[in-house]
Amino acid sequence: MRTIVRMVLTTAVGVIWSVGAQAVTVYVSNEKDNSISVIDGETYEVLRTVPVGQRPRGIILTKDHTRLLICASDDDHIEVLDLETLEVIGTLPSGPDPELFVMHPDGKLLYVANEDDNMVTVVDIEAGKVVAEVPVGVEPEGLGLSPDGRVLVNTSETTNMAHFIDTGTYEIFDNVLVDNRPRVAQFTKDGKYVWVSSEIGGTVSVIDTLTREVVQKISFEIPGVQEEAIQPVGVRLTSDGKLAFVALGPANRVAVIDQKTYEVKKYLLVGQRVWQMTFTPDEKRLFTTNGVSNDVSVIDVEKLRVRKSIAVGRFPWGVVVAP
Amino acid sequence: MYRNGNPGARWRQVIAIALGFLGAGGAAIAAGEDPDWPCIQRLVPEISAGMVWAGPPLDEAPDWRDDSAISNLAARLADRRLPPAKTEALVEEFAHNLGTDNDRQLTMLFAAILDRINRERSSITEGIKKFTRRQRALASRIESALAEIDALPDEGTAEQEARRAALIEQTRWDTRIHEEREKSVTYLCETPVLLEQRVFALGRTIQGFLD
Repeated sequence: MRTIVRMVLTTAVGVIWSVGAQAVTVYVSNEKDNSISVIDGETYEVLRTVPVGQRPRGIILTKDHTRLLICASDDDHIEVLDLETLEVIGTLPSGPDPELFVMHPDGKLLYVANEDDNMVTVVDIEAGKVVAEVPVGVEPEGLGLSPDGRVLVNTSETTNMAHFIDTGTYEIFDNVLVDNRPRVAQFTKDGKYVWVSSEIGGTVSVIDTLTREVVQKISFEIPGVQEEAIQPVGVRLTSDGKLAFVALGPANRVAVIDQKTYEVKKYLLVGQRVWQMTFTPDEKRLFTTNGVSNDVSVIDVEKLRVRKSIAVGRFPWGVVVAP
Repeated sequence: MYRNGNPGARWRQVIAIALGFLGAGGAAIAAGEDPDWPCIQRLVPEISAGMVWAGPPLDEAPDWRDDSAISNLAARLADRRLPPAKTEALVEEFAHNLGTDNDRQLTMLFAAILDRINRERSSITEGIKKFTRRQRALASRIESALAEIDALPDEGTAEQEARRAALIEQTRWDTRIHEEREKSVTYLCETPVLLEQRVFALGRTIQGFLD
């Protein structure tokens, strides 16, 4: 009886919480299933699973939110998914093996990381053309763009560097050494700092974008979890400058960090091998993709609690939220 | 059967195929820290509690070994033949009948499951390492047979020719067995992951019933 009462209460709390949540749609790329899961952001129901190209990883919404761009890594191109019809309506060039990309704030250009040929490819979305190829370090991985779109930071897996690229000239103007296998680069809202995660090093380096000095190195320690399992990948920063979330891979946890003091406040247990994350537009919720447990976790940003797990396809990778 | 045609070309073919396998084995070894670990997944010797459990500390709970009901239920839940829907029903039934020390009993149950699954997982990882060692032994047998074939004269005595034929036959079989076994590596390597998935899902279900 007690259990039933508790279940009813939990469900009721869950419903109240989700009713208060912003109405959004969540899109998740399933790397092994070659599909995109479409999730109702209120009921957390998977509405559709759409077949797409091979090995979909990085995904991004167009500025008008009508299309989803998908890195089809094994097809060596980007696919354009119409969000009205949920059909792939075209492709964009990307260079070989596109893993992930970022979009210029004006919504016109895409910067694509090509792991295979040590390039960052710049694509004009409207024209469907490659406008530049920037040679970068060995095995380019993560990409972060400054809020004004002037500086692109690219991480290189092999040289362990964050390369600072001027998007006006496509020249690298600085290189910053970080810990082993840097993955994700994320700018703070004010553009003053860029946070870079190091998967093997197990740390996050905070770089001052003016001096290009590492001003802080954040490390993680979770009771009962061996050090090798702590592999930071995804980084998300709230735009009020208060909180940072770092996905710790096979530790199955997301670290919650104070953006000002760099103190780790909490480690939330989400799903297995958590890599990528994204906020809802109001930043009240954070969605994480968990590649081994094949699900998406929903984090309540205010209460710092994991609210829900949504089963999706195999190896969920990228996640975006459309208003 | 190798009397006709060019015997030299045939040796070379066998050698090329066999060396291809030996080379493939070598690449896997270079990637991992443990030379006997053939998988692309990094070898994590044990699933630690913190990776799968955010409830009360497992080591502070009473010993589940003293509770036969919990031990038995853990054994049923850990068994991979039991589908996930059934495990949820079993956990719910267990939680439903608990008294005041609900959390303590659920924590004991999960400690028992983790222990059981970790033991099963480590016997599997040991098995995978043993598999690698056997493959390596087979590869070295192929290698020495090829060396011996190579050392035999082109036009040898009847005894030497018989030896050559026997070695070729052996190498053909060994190469085939090596190849067949090598195909199961991906599947073998996914088995520990299946156990990790299972223990995580069970932990999540049980945590759902904590107060």
